[in-house]
Amino acid sequence: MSIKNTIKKLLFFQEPEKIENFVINESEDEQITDYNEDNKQDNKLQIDKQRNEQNSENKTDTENAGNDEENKNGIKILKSKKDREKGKKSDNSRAKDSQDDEDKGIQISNNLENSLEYIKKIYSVPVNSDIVIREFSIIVKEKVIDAFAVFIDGMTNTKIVIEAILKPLMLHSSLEIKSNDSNKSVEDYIKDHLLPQTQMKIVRTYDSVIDGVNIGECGIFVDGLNIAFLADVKGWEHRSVERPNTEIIIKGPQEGFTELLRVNTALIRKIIKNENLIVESISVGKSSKTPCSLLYIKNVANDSLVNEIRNRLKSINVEYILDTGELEQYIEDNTFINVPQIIDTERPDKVAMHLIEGRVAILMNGSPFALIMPANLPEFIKSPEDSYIRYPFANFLRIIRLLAIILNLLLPGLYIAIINYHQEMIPTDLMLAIEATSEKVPFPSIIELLILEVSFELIREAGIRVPSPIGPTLGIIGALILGQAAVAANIVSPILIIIVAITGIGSFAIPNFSLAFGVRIARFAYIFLGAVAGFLGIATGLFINGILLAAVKSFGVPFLTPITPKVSRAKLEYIFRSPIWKQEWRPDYLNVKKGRSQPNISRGWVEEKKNKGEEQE
Amino acid sequence: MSSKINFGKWEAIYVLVLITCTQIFLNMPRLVVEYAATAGWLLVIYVSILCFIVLWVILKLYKDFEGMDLIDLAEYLAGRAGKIIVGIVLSLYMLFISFVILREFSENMKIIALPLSPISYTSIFFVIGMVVAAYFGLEAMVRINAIAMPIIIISYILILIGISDHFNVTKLAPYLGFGAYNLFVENIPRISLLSGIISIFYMAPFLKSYKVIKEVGYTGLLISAVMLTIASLSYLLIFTYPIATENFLPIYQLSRIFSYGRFFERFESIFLIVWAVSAFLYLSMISFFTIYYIKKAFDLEYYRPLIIPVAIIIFNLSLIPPNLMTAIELENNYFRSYSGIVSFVFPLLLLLACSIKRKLRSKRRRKEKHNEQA
Repeated sequence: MSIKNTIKKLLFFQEPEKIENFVINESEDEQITDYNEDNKQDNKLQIDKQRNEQNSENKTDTENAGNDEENKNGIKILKSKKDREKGKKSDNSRAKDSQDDEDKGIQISNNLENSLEYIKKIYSVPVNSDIVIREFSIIVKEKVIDAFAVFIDGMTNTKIVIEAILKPLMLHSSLEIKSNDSNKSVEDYIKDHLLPQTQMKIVRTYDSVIDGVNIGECGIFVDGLNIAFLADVKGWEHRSVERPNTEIIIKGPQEGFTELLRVNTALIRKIIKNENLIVESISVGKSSKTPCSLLYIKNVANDSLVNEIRNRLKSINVEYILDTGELEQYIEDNTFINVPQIIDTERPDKVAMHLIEGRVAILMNGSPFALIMPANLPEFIKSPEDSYIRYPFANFLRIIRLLAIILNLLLPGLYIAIINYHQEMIPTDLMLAIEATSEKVPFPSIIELLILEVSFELIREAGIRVPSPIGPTLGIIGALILGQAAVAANIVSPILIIIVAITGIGSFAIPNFSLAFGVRIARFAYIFLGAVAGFLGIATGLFINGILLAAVKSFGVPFLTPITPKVSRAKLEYIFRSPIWKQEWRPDYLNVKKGRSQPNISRGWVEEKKNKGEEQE
Repeated sequence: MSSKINFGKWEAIYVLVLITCTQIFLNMPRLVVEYAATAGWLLVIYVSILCFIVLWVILKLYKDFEGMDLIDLAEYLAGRAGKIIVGIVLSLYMLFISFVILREFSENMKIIALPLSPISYTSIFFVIGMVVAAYFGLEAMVRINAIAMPIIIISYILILIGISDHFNVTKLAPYLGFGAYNLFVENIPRISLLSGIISIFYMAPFLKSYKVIKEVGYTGLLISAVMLTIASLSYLLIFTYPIATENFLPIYQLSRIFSYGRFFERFESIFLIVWAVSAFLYLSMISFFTIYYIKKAFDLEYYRPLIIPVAIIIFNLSLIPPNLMTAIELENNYFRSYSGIVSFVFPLLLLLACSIKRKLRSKRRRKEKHNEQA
């Protein structure tokens, strides 16, 4: 039956599914007028307007509720980031609004025994060795009440648990506490007088307690109360902020993301010191409930784009998700093409740069890589360093990188094509030299090339896995000795070693890892095409590759923008860099709310000097 | 594929230039020499002026039918039957062009680079390109064309600059070739050289407004005319008349002269890539319009199931001519000589009929209104 179906599928036309492709709508309030006018419109006005809009949305749409609250969360975290230690502790955001949780799940029983039993059952307590359940007694209004705390050892900071939860409840509760209101309930009394922890929540269902405990909070149950207290005492082990491993630059900030979401969001807030930066929380994964943050600048990013990304994130229905690398595959437009459609980066400054341009970023807890979207081809050739170094240097680097891509993609293929089909192109002396060296090699040139390319890929893959002290040695052994020996043994000709070496170096000059990967794979297709039909094959490859690239879209933005389709403003700016004071417009294709990023004359002193010069005349 | 596809002015201009100018890489420079001897380049200018006038008339008539292509016009004129007839005529015309050009390009590739391969081998590459391009649709094709065209034009001009020291103006004499009568009267049908310009109406539904169509048409015509003139002029400046009529692959012969120092001696092979890419673009564009017209004429919902059958038909037809000379004869004697009928006379008549019908209709309506009021 299945074979029949497969044949049927292959032979007969299947009606394609009707998919509405996402298009970035023009922002209604796009201001492409004058920069000064932009600024004249007081930020406050705009914020107020948007807040009103949000409020009205909140009234009608409960799903959108919490935007403001999340924002507050973000700000709160920023404040606490002043103290780094604290910042790390206040790591996770709420997976969902606690209010949302109120509706579902089993209500907490006011019988402590029941709660204890339930929690033990859920966490399989004797088996699960890192779940800590500490039973103790509290004295409230001269009554002794039983209570217990539950938390996961290793996820929490034990010191805080002792100092801020157990000590006050067990010891300080026996002290005489002065209170104005003697009729206070036990719940309020504990909350107001006995728990000095800064981030404290009261929840009503077991599910919310369990969600909290799973991300490193401490749940406190008290006999006679049908609520539980959740204290934020996170304190797991993590890497500190280090230099990014994959995107090293010479000039510019040297910080990289870590695995902690809140540290990462704080690193970005540290750069964009503006209240319009929104850090929206969305959790992905039914079981893992991995916290993600959607970042954008409220008065710049296009609303339809933000909505689309939010919808895609929310719609992901998967049990566990571990890294942004996985998330990328869930939200990208086209899976089968060999170019990335989302920029991934380890650098907070790169994310900030893109956010300012009007793009949207996603951060995920547990991943030191941020995702930036939409992406187009020129963005993959840029490195954050380009903005930090002077104009002529940056453009020189861009040309070098373009060259690297072209060499990496085409050089081996062109070599094979020329050697096999277009020998007349080679100047006579060079041809004689090539002929003399390849005379002794028994293989056809394509086999020679494949031997070398495959061994280069082997060295590369092995180089990642070998222990780091041996790494460079392996490179030397692999590249130098193997190459030398291969030539001496007449397996390959020396000119081929040069070709493969240049190709290999070229692939490391591409700033984006994913793009370099795509080019690396496409290279083999060009080798094959060059071998079967010479330049005609190469042209076929270029044409088909071009068609594929032109057909790809990343979140509504064609991949080859701004080369084609052309954009109206600042055409060259996206491929080459213009002087920094001339970068006046944000990318046109993003349909941002604020077109201008700086006025026509952003260097005030030039204006002043001009005026003075005119006065002197 | 829906009318949602929209492309910009320059992208459309590049399509026009592509469809009109790809013939430069085939036989066009030799053809004009055959038609008008040393006045070949003047013939191109003359024909371009004629074409401008015809285009002006056509665009004037077209003004009231903004956003319609030829099939829509036929439907307006004669309903479904008209639509089908015009659709069939146009798609057959496109089919004819595709297979002839496919054969010629494949033969040229074979002669220049792959002399030992059978002709079906070289043409299969083009067919694969056509299929892939048609699958991804017009938008991707137009986009990639907008990147490739400037590169093709620049490399072509670079070659001309490289060989410019071989130019000899005396080779242009006698300046009027076979004489003024031959040039200006006998050669009027040669307006077919610029028949590609009419492809603007194939793209009409995708362009935003009449104003854009007008701009695209005139700019495209201007650029094409300049390119064709440069091609024929530089060809005549290098080769004297008798040799110029004998050269097979004129522009390839030109590029072979190119040499710069001892290292860059035989660089025409690089030109081969440019050449092949332009062939890919041209063939995929034309075959796409073949499929598109079949789809449109018969009101089909999808065009993708047609791609493979049409590609196989084009491939097989291209193998029918026994040799290259027959294919060239097909191109020169039929396509380049009579394509003007399909691309200029046919739309002109169609538009005339349409505007007459429109006027009659509006008159009738006015009368009816008048009667009602009375």
